[in-house]
Amino acid sequence: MASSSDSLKQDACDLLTVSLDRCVADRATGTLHVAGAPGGTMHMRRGAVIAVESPGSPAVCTLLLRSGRIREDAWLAVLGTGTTPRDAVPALVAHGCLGAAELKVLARMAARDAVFAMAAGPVWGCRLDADAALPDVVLPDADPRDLLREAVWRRDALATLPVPVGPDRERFVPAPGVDMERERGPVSRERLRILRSANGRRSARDIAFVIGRGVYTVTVDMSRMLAEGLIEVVGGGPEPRSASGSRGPGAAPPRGAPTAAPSAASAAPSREPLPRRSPGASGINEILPAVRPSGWTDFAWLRQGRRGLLRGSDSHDA
Amino acid sequence: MNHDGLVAEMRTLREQVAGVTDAAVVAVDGLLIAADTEDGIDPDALAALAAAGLGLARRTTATCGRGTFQQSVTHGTAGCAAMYAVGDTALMVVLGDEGLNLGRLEAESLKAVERIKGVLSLPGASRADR
Repeated sequence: MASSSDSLKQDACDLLTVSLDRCVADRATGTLHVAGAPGGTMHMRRGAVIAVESPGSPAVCTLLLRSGRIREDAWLAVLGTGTTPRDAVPALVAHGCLGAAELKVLARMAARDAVFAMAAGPVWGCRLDADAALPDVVLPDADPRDLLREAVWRRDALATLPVPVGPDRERFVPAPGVDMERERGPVSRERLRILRSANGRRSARDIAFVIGRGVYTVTVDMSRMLAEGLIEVVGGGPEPRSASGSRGPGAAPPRGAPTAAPSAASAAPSREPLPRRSPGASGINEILPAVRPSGWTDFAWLRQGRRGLLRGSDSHDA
Repeated sequence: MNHDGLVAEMRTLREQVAGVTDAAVVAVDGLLIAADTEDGIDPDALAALAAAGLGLARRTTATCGRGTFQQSVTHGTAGCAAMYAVGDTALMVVLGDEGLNLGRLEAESLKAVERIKGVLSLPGASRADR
């Protein structure tokens, strides 16, 4: 059995793996610019990651503002103290708008989400800027290889779902007949927000920004909702995963990737009935038990002890 | 005028750059030429505001001796609006969310502006309803 390091190197994000290995070995300090779609930046200090940003996933301030956890007037008041937008999130703690532990949880989730977004799309190159100014630290020093390992795990977990979708690939609309007025049956409050945001123009990534949730959890939710027939993909969706695990030819390319003219065959929607999901059907717990990192489950006490603390943010794993 | 071509250019921009949500091509007098916007956006109101903003930005650039106006970006807590001059007669306004990478947007928008300029300069080009 190949080691997890070997499996990472066989992955499409080889460039990222090699660059992060080098940063760790050199105990690099600076900003690693990851060119890709969506790409992003990883801020490093002595080989550890202290902040991650990607256009493909909501940053901490977006999660706070879009979910309603922080009011706009409080945010603007912090900015009015002369804090730059990039460093304003830590200042929220100083102003009593946010708990320090809550910020750490959110920062950790947002960082992992950003690395997932980077790993889920193509990576064209990496460049370390050793002179870049580092942001105020909000993320406890993290091993970049752990972050990447979890990102690859998340991407692989997404691919094992019955009807896998990409975070920035398909656009969705509610399926005909779905009641979008109230929670009922499989339509929870969070799913209702997704349904109301699915207007045929937005990808899972776009909807994650609109509702202020992590792009990974929204993508998983939308994949499951697609399998359950609650939403449809505009222009024909991805085909259900084949027995070999590969996606069908109807899959759209990721945003930013070179596009080819669609053929009539690829544009046709799948005629097969959508598979029904049952708990544990993805089998991910059996497939990847050894490589699944602990993640932010260390903070489970926060959920139990302070209900509502994480309102509007990621609330489950796949 | 190749209205569909303009819409296709804006749709391509939205699909190529993560964070782009809407776009419109507008005449400098504020009349809408083509739009790729979602239901929550009034394209005619966006066109009028963008044209007014472009005029103000052009005058500001000239008054301050900053050369030829190229683009302006307005930031809000939930995203931004970027305006690009399309020659002397039109502009393109692009709306984005908080995740929009402005550097990538600029690179792709300037290419789109050149192509839109080409569409608008074709013989027979005239303003048309959406």
